Amino acid sequence: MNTEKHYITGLKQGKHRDFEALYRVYADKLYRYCYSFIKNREETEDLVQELFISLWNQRENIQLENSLSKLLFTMAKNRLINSYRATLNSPVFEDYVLFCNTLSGSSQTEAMIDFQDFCYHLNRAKRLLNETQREVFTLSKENGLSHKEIAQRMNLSEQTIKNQLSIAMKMMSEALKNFLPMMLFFRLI
Amino acid sequence: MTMDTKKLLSDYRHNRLTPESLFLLRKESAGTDTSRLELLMEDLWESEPLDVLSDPDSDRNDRTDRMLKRISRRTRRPAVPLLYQAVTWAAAVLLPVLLCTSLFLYQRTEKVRDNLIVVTTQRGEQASAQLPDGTVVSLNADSKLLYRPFNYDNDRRVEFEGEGYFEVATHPKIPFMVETPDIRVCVLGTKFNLKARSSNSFVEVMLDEGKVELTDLTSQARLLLQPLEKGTFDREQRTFSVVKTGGKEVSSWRQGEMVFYRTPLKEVLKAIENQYGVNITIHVDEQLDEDKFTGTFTTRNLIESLNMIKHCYGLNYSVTGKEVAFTR
Repeated sequence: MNTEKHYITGLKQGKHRDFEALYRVYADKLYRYCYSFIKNREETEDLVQELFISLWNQRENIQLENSLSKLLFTMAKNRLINSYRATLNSPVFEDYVLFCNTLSGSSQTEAMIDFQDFCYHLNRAKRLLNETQREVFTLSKENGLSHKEIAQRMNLSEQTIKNQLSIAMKMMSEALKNFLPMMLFFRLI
Repeated sequence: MTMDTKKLLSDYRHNRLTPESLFLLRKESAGTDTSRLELLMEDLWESEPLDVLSDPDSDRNDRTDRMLKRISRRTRRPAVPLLYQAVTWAAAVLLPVLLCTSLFLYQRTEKVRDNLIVVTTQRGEQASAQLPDGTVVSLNADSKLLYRPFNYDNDRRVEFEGEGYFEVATHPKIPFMVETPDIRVCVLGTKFNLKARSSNSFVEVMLDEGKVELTDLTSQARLLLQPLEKGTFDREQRTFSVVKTGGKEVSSWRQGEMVFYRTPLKEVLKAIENQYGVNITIHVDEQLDEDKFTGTFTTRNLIESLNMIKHCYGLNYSVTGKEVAFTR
């Protein structure tokens, strides 16, 4: 703890070496912690980077008697909570949870594939769809719109949407077979 | 926030949610106000050991370094201001150095400007000097040539005393000027012999080629000489006179001869003194100084010259070191 105070004192004086020492103490923990909520590597990296940059920029206002750990959390929390909620509420995350459960058969073992990789494979497979199919699929599975809403937005009949989505799902299943063994996770409404 | 929420959150973070628990968590998070979620998250942040969370990357060190690099790019001063700073420092350091150098060079230039090159010959010596423009000046015995190399190319001016033969490099715009204590010789490119000895009562300019202009430094009177003319300036009367010559007489010293035509003996002897570096005295009753002498001496043999004078005037002479004494 004394070494940390020493580093903080150095940081307040604008010493890059002490700043980097503090970074090496906290960066890894911060990254893993935030990633567990955000579930996206790039977004997490960006958050951690911005966090340390603003720590540097505000170095003169750091209070030595307060814990740096607490300060870092305070600085991170707003963006972290926003990102967490975005991930939690995204329709694709719902698909992901379905997929994980189908895959493992048990809800208590950790998933074999993480959310970001799942999204990656999904996007690769999406490239095989034509424009209409892709739009229907995206609006339904990622934006969570109902068939009726999609039909209104695209100026198509509800039946057409159902048909297009069904074709899209079939094609995706075929295409994803190579990447993921089971493709029975989509909500087939 | 209940224990259930904590469990749900943990399941979310470790990818263990079921569709049902996801539904519950979504509902919880929608209803929970942020401050309670914050408290729960902060508690996890402070209490959770590092290894509870799996790392999504296998190359963790790469990631840490990569991020630090990007952070450093924004926390360290950007490259351009750094360069600017370096330049500022360099300028601060170099300025006094440059100032000192300038001062030193200025002083040296001042010195160079005042630099005089002096070519002198003692009695009995001859020398040749080449000036920066290619002009060659041959100096007869006991002569002195002075010039300033600084800016010589734009101002071809030399000072001269004694006797010399000038082969002046041609320059259509910049005249070559020889200043003696009495007259100035101004030329554009030519060959001439100049005799301006303080011991002689005349300054003589014998022109071989081209044109020269002589100017009396006191009265500014001028005389223009044509080739093969000899201009004479009487130092006492301060007048010019011109005679046509065969061209041989005046610059004969350069061919190892001294040619005299109706020259006062006094000056003949002076020429011999200069040529050989001796002192000549005549111990006779009658006045021979102004006697006009015509003849040619060699510049290689003193005894031969002395014998010629001895026979002409029926005198005897004795040589003691550098002293020559004529007696009856």
